[in-house]
Amino acid sequence: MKTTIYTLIALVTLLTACNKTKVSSKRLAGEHWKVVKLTIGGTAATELPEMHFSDCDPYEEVCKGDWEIGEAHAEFAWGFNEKGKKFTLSNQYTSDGHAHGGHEQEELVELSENLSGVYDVVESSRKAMKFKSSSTVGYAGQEVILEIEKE
Amino acid sequence: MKNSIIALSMITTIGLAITGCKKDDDLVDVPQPVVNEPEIITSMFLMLTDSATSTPFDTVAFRDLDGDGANAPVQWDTLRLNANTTYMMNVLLLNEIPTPADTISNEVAEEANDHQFFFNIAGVSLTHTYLDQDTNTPPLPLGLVNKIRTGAAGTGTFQVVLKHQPGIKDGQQTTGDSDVDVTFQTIIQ
Repeated sequence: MKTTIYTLIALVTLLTACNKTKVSSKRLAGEHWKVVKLTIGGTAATELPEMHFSDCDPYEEVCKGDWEIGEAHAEFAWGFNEKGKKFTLSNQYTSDGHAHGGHEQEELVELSENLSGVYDVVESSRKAMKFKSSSTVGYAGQEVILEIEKE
Repeated sequence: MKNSIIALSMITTIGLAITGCKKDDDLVDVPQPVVNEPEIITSMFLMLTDSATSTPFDTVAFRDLDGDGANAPVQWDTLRLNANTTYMMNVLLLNEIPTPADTISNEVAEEANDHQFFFNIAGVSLTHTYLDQDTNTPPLPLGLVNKIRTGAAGTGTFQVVLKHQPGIKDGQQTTGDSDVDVTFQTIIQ
């Protein structure tokens, strides 16, 4: 009996350790998360969007999501790698020269472009995640810290 | 015998788990980000009015009709001002590629909280004052409406820089990207 329990614990530990990318991905997929803090080069952004992550299997398809503020939205692709230690955001919204939907939409598309990049995963739990990068498209050389919480 | 079967089952299960454990190499790549082209600004006009008489004084233009393309500007005026005079100076930005031209300064006004003009003066006796501001807290200057005051005669330069600072406007010229950066030769006579 003891052996069985130990073996099961070992198995669960093994499975968790071997696939942190999948665990992190499952936490986001199909869920709404809100940005609770966004700082760019030490300056805190005042307008904070929400993020809707589509349900997906990162081993089978490109995972997509949407930045959302009010009626405005901007599509992005996302994914974890390096055993859940890295997180990539990539704007996929195409505006054809103009972001349709007014000023709020333009701003959100610009944010989606600017925040595209590869982030270090600082914190990853079921309810909260924190990402950090100094190489985003719009703020290269400045540290961007993105903190999100599950709604 | 029973223990051997259990042990064998466990080993098989662990083996299958390890084999079935997907690697990062198997992940579908995240596509490269789409970066949409920013608004094109081909032309800038400094519209000067003598503040004492409220009469139009001059319009000084910079026009580069292919934007960042290889062709040289088709018009790049010299800023000529009278000594010891105060002028109101409004800035007009156009994209003259489409017909009719797109008035970009209207969009800058709409997005005042994310934009600021900076005016850098070198070699001439000239002072600049902002006459408009945004709705940030506290308010910050915008620079579409301005006052400039000349001193003694001389020559130098007047640089106009429009910074785009989405969500990070802080009154500093070093923050954000430049949407416009034009230097006018300046003569005060």
